[in-house]
Amino acid sequence: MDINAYLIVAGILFSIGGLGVLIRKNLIVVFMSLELMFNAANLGFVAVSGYLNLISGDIFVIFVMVVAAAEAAIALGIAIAFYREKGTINIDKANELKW
Amino acid sequence: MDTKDLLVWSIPFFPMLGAILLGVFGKYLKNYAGYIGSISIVISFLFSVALFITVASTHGFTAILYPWIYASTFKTNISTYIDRLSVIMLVMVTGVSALVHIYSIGYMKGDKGFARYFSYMNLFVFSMIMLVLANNFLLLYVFWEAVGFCSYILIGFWYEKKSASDAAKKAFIVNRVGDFGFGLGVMLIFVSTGTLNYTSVFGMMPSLPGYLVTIIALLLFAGAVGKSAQFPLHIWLPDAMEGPTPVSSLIHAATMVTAGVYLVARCHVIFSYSPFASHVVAYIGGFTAFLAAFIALTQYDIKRIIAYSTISQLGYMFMAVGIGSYAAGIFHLISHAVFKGLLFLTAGSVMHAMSGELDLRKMGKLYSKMKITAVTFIVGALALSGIPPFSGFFSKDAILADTFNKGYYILWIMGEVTAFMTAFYIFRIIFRVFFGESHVDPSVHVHESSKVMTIPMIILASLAAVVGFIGIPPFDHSLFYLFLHRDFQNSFVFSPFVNYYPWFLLSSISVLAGALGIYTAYLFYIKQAFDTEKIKRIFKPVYELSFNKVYIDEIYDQLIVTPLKNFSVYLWRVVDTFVIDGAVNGLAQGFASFSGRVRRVQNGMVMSYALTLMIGVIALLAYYFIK
Amino acid sequence: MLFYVFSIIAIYSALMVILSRNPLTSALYLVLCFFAIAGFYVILDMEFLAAMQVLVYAGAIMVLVVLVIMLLNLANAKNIPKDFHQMFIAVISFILLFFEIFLYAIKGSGKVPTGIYTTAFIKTIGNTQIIGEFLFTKYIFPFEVASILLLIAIIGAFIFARRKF
Repeated sequence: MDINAYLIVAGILFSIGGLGVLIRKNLIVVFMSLELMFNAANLGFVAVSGYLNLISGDIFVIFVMVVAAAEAAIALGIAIAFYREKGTINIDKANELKW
Repeated sequence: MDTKDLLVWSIPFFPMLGAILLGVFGKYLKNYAGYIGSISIVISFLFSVALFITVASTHGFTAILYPWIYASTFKTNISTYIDRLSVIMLVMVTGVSALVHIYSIGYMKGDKGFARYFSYMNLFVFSMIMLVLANNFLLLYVFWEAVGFCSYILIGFWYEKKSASDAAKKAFIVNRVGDFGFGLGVMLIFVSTGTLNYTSVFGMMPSLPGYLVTIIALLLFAGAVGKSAQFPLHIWLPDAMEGPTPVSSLIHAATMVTAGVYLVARCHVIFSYSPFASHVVAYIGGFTAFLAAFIALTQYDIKRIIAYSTISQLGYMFMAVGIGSYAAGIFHLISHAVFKGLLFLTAGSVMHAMSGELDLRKMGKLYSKMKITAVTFIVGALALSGIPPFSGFFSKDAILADTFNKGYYILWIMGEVTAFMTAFYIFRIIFRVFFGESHVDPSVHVHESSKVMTIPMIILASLAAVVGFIGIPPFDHSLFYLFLHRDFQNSFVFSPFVNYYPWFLLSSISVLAGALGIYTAYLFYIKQAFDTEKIKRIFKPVYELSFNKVYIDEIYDQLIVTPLKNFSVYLWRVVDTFVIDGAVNGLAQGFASFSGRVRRVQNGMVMSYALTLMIGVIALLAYYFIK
Repeated sequence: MLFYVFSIIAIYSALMVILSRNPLTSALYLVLCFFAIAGFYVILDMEFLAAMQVLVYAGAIMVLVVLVIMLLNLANAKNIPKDFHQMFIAVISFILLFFEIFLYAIKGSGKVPTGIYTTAFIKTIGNTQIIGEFLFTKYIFPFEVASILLLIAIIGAFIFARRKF
């Protein structure tokens, strides 16, 4: 398959993920959208790496997965703490970043 | 750094140490402050004498402490230039300073600023020593300003008194006018020669175009006019008498005000290559000598009379250096430092005895009550009047004889008339203070001052009596001239001798003038041969002119101070209120309303921040794509 | 052919992730999306990554997410009001972003392959071995750093989830 097709699919997935981050109010869904963006980026890495006959992109995907796993642990911890603090996971309640 | 260098740097080191010590710990030192302050100067004096002997037996040298500014071609060291001129100045400065410091222990006793006073005085002595020692114009300029600053803080020492703080400001501002010229002169020297080192600058003088040398010389002289209180910037010195009397004695008679003369003598190469500038120096000196003596005739405040006398004597010195008789000028500088320092100290002693009274009309018949003060004052007065064998006779005669023999007859006549007036006004003080009828307020308990004050006076009086003998045999063959002559050899002779009249002929004329002045004062105030009131009425315009100091203060007021003040008020009321404040307030309001709008971006919502970040990413990607 | 199938599945499930009201539904669609992406990796001859994708993402992370949804009892938390202003700007900006990604893809299409790891070469050795060799030789330092990152994440998650700070 042509490399551009993969990249376009990756771009679409990335955009959908980003859109989800911005329009959804549910903290968990926002987090899932972020994971979607990670995966879009991974797809791009693998596609380009395969096209250029390199292996570094694939290695990078491994590291992105590591970061994603770490991020999942932290983000879900934050989600629990947030819920405990506010009684909801509506992200609009996170409005104190101005003090 | 060898021993000679160490010797040089010890001289300014001790006053500096004293100033820091007294300035920082003065509060805890109480009465010891006076001893520390004096001892530091005495040590400095001893080192100066040692240096004097070293230099007198060998030759001058340059001592570099450390490199100060090294910027491509501009190189300046903290370094000294030691020759016979500077060691003579050094011994004079530290010697008189030491005596004045000791005197101050008695004079300033009980003052709440006792330690502060000695700290300032030590700082002054340090600055003055460095001024004398400097071997480049930048260092000279720095310490030129430093002594001006010390003068300012010491004139305003009793700053609670409005007249004192006003006088301090006046001194500082008037000095500023002169120093501005001096600063320009230093810059011009750098621009035209590319260096500020004395030796290099002087070496390049013959190759510079004449007009440039004249401008440099006149700009330097502007600084000298301000610092040495010459016409037209002499107005600050009489007001400077608001400071403590030892300050007047040390700074405003013996040392700082003579810095101008020292400057001209130090830069004699520059001045000698510009006969025009030298003549300006000489004629301003001569005119100032005459004018100040004329004003001194009718004043009633003892210290002011002596202050005008200082201005007048400085005029003599400028006259001497202006006609190329540098050694004679420095000789008069030295002897003047001794006898004028003495006169101020004795005036301070009188003032001390009279509980601060300075008005001639409220004194009289003090001789019997304070014999030491009276005798030492008379010695100083005789020296000032140029009566042999006191020091003033030798030094003043050296100047007057040179003016005559070099053909400056106008200056000579002015000098002789001034000599007559000088003798008159100084003996007017003596006759009205120590003799005649007593007008002393009966409540004042007149007493002789303590030993710590009288001993410095006695030492200075003996010096004033004998220091003149370094001037024999008279004129060009004297010890002093031969000693100092070598330093002035490299100057250009622009005023050769035209007459060779024998010294006794010329001397007898000036001695006659002085004696005549004394006799006139005697007739006026002891014999009361004339009705002074009647004479006042007959010569009313002249008397008024002298009494009102030739209206120079008033002229400055009308010509400079008032217009400047009006202009400043205009600036304040119109420009500052509307233009500056308007601009500042308008800008502030603009920012306030703008930030009121921008503030809404910062709403604290995490998602809106994420959106903003996203827009930023899009913009960046677009930027790199286009690039 | 397989590519288009996976593409349709991936994009459809991604859309459903952000559009469905129930977070649990979103989570399940995301798992589907991850499987589709794993399929892409298989097409691209990276079977090892595909396995990792399924194990780490679909297996570990998504299980964690579902666990949290259940823990917080969020399955029926639907009545969150929408901010149409923000939505509008977000949609516009992501259309722009996609357009830019598209432009970059076109711009970079002139690149020629430079590496030696052609598909045929990888097949002779096996992609797992190649990735392993790289990971433990050339990329050993990032690998160690990643392990520390994971350690920090464990501690961080523990601290965040504690009942009291």
